[in-house]
Amino acid sequence: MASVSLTQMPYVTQKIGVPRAVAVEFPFGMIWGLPNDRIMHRTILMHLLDAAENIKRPGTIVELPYTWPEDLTEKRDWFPKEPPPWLTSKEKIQQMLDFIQSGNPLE
Amino acid sequence: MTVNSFKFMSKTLADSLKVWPYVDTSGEEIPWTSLKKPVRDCRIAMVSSGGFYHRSDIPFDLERERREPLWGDPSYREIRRGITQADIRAAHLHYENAHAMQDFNCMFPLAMLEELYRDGTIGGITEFHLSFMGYQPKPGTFIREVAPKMAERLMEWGADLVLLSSG
Repeated sequence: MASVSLTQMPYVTQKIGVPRAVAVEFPFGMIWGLPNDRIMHRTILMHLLDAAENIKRPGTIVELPYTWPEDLTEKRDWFPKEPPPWLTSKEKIQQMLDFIQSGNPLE
Repeated sequence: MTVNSFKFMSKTLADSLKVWPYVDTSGEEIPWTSLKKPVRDCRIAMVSSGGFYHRSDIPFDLERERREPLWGDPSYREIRRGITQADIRAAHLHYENAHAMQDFNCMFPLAMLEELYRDGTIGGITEFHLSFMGYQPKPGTFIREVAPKMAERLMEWGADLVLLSSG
């Protein structure tokens, strides 16, 4: 079973190492494009299928040229209305910072 | 790398992710399975880390994450082929779900995959797709127990190619 990943974070994908990846600079919650943008959803799908057939070297990441419209970037409407739990108190933020500094992700 | 989605994040999150304790795979070879046939003959499955589930299924456990913010529900859900907008839900506290609740194809383009099947671009679609909740700061359980089970299910459904999407 072969696989292709779609990522917004090629920086992270490269660190971890996946067989084949396609990277796109779209915001969180809309990685395939705007809601109902069927043309963009199809375009990105076709890039993934192309990557599945044509990438021959493990770890290859293909970066797509599409950009998020600037007027929508200013809206910043991809932030959840409720902040993530780790950001809700000083104590929780400190717990996260301690984990980042010395935590074991596999514990 | 020119794709830079850090610009869509708060500075706190972007700074954290730059020094995040990722699972160290530097000593490991990147896994590789070749594609056995042309895409037009492949049966395809999709996996999304967007925390999707059928409305009659059990949501991912966000209450425990609210109590223990360094914990993320490591389970997965099976999504039957043909699920509709009215039946799909998302449980994930790290992106705005409203866009996907308007059109889940912006996170999990199952309708477009069906279109590619109808026009002959791909050879088939598995009876189920998979989703999990991608906030896994400590992904040990997910890596050791859950992901292998997901791979097993995908093989049972006869997937030739799996499209994995983050959110």
